[in-house]
Amino acid sequence: MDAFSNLNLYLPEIIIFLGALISIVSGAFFKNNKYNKVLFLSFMTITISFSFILFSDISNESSSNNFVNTTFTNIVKLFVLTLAIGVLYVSNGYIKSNKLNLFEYPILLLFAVLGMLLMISANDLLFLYISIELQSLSLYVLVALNRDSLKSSEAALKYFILGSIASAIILYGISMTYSITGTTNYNLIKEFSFTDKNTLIFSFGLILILSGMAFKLSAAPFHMWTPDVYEGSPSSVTTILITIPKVVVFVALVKLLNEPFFYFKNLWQQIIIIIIVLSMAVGSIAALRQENIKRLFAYGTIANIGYVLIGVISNSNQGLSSSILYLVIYTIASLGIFSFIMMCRKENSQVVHLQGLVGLSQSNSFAAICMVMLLLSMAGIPPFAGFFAKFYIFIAAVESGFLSLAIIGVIFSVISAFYYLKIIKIMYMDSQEDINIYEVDNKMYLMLLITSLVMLVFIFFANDFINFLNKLNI
Amino acid sequence: MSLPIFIFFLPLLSTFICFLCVLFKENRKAEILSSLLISIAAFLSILCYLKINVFVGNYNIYNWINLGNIELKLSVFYDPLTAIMFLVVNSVSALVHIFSIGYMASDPYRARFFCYLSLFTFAMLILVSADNFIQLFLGWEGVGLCSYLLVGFYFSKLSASNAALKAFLVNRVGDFGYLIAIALIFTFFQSLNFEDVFSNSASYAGKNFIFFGYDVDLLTTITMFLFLAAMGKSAQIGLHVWLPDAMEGPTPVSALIHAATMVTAGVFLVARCSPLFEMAHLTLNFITYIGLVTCLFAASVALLQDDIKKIIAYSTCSQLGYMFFACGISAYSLGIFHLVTHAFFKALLFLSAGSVIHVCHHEQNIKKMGGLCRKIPITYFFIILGSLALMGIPPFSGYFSKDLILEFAFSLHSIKGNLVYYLGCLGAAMTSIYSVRLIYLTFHGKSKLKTKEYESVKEAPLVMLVPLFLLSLGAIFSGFFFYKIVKYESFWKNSLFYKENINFVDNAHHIPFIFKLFPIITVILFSFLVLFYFSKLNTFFDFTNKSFSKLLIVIKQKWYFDILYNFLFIKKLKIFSKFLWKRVDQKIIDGLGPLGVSYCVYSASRYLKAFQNGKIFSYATFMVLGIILFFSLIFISF
Repeated sequence: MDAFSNLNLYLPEIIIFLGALISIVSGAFFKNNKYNKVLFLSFMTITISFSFILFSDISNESSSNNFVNTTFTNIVKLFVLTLAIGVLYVSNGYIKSNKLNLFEYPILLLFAVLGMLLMISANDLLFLYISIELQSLSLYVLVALNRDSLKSSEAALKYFILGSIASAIILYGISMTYSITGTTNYNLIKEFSFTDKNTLIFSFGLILILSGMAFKLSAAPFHMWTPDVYEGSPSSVTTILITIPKVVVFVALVKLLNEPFFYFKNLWQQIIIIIIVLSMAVGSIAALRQENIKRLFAYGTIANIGYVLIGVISNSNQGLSSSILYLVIYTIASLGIFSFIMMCRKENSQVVHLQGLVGLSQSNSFAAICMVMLLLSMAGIPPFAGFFAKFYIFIAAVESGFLSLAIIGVIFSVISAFYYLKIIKIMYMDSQEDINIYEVDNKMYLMLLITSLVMLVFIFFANDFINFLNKLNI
Repeated sequence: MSLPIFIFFLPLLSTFICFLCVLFKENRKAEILSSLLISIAAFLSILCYLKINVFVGNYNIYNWINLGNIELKLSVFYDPLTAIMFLVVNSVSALVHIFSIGYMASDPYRARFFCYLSLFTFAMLILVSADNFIQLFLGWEGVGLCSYLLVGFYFSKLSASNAALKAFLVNRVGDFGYLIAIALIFTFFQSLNFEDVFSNSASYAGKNFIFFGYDVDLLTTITMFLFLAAMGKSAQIGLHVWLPDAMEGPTPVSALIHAATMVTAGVFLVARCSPLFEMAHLTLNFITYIGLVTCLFAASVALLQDDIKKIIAYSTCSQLGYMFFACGISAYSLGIFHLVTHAFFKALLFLSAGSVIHVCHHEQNIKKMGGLCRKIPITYFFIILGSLALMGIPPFSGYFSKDLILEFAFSLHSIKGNLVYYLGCLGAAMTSIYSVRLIYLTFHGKSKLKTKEYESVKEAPLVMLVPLFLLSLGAIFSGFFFYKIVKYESFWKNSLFYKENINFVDNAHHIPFIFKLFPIITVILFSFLVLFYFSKLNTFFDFTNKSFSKLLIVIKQKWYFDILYNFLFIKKLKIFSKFLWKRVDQKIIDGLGPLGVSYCVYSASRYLKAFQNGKIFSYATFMVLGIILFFSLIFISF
């Protein structure tokens, strides 16, 4: 295959792969302090891969390949690697204080990242499938990382079974499209001339693939696993789940919709509109009664995915760039929020309940202030970044004629503002009997500070950022 | 930065400093710094006034509103009228600031008080330096707000916070008129700048338009609404009810706001808009009669009040009537002249009264005072000075301004002029009666204070006496000092507009000598009458005399205005607003709106939560259902 004729293209991924292998072997040989050493190796691996993408020209525009690098994919890869480093950095303290410092954790994350990087560049349905599987399998194991916890195991099992169903659905869809077109390459599928008869079968295939992808995005109605898995898995893993895969799967989905399925726009637009409305509704309304912090943000994720997808259907470069903007802001805010959740410990156990945050404004006013900024941003209140994210999304929707969708989005964003504000109310206004004591980890502090500052100062860069994304030609 | 702009921003700076002092609880620094800054402003205002030819101009600060064809600037429009107002506002404000250092000495929250005082001064400067209707409105509302804050300064006292609310609400009525006037002006003149509006006012004279189905004169309507605003701010009859109640505020506030500056904003508005008012004869007549009625009504009420501050408050109301009927007979410069002299002697009276109240441990009822002249002779002297100026005895300042108005009115030789003259003299007579009564009851006779309290009464501190002294200089000499503003029309440089070019002073001087003397003689006559027959008059006022008792009760009850308003508006409004609140807002709007919707959403979340049962097969079922839903879309779309 000519795909492998130019190994240069795959070098970042190969570096990750080799780094993961070295980490496994060395992890087996190190005598003590395995976790820290392996963590260091993983950091190095990711950094090398990162700098390689950054400093060498590895984009190929010849699109007949299975594997396509463009400026855009490279930027997404850089973002994914940054997020991976951020997650590893911030979860360090959590992992140690919960005695989860197994050296498998960074290695599994490396494999997941490998799958993600491949997925971003995938230009072939089978290639896509395999990279999704690589990513998912690593994540299944990560969810089960806390072997002693029943909840963690249960979550992992649920995630594994339902994820396998989703993978099977995707694979079935791929086989259907292959049966019509005889190829799995995106470009060849796009150029295939359909007749009335095979359109139907192809549409079935398309729907199956889309549904599988929606599962990976945790979009309604394929969202049911999300709250259980997010709640059950260790918070460090939830941080991974809630941020990186969402970006990657979204990019892969956009590519799918705009290349092989480009001429089926009428169909997938309707499907995605349904997904959007359901996601926003479920995410906003079901979260109202949640008392568990992680479950609440799981629903928040579902709602946010709904907003992100609005940019996809608006089918313009502007729409897509506003979606990417939304995702970036959403992931950064989530990273901040989850570093906060990992930070909240009292009496030697994690705070899982919303009521555990009572009185935080007094016991740890700095964290409370940062959290307020992140939450206000999530609720979409100006001048924080989240407002601009929602603003550009709705603008894109209105400009491409989806006014009603924008109105529905605004309504649900009002509803979701309720539970973000509720957290602030609990932190600041609810009375408490005893002053809670929160352990402070400097790393999480730093992440909290950085993310909340990003939310705060984004207003000054909003215009430049959106112009930059517009120029990228996603 | 030119000097007027510098003056303009000094009170703002003072407000800001005081605000910081409020935060850091630095009472001493607040009072010293704010007094200093406002005093500088006062000094510079006097300087600017003396060199007025140098400083006249429109100093643009900020392009405020640019909307379609509305182009409004925030500016210091420094013309002779503004110069005089700057002088009055800043100098009285500075003296009140200094006086308050002594008066408020025992108050732990006085930094806040000084903050409000400075903010008020700034708002007043915004008002008088406006070059368009909107900036004037900004200042108009700003002084209203500060008045609210200052009257309710002791907000824990129910009567004070009620009085503040009353002042604010009654002024709403007037502000409503102002807003309508702005809207009308903008509709027809297409501009809100004074320059554009006033230069075009002549071309709109006599034009009619349809207003609520009636064909009415445009300028008359506009000026009527403007005058409604002026009536509210300047407490003219009908909208005067807030002024006596506003005496709940600290006395320096009454001196600054409810005597010298804010209440005269209405007169200022009429004078400023003289090009509009000159074109509307009906409104001018209306102003004259409202001014006359207010003058007589307020003076009559003041006759029988027992609260020292309320007497002076009604006296202010009555003097404002003089200013208004001066404007009503087109003698705007005389109105402004009286405004200036009145600002000084009335501030003097109020501050002296404040001093009396201060030394009497916050006793305000003059029937419970008496015999104080031996204890506080300096204050007594100042009150006498202020009263003489108020009564219009030469050579004090009140004589110059008040008699000039009356003489000029007489020189018109019209029914309106004669009415003004004779009723004005009647008002002056009543002024002398209540002034003498106030002095007599407070300072003479036997003391009704408790012996212990009476013994402890001693003269107010120097920091309170010095402002009194400076104000008494104003009360004596402001008549001479400002005489040129009425003598030489050229002083005004087109900031006041007259349809006919008359020199008021010359005209006033050409009336028969006996009519010049008549007001003074009346005043002196009545003063002596009261002074020598006080004990007899006192029995007369004690409601024993059957034939007059009904009228006296009516006067004592302030002509039943409060009771009438309570019956006519307040009770019905309360019932109506309770209906709106309980039924319309709480039941209908909240029930169907926020509460109803949130209840629906919240219950919906229960159902959604029920789906989340934790079982893998049900989750998988939902996935399959979703896929089936999407499949069905194919058949719809094909």
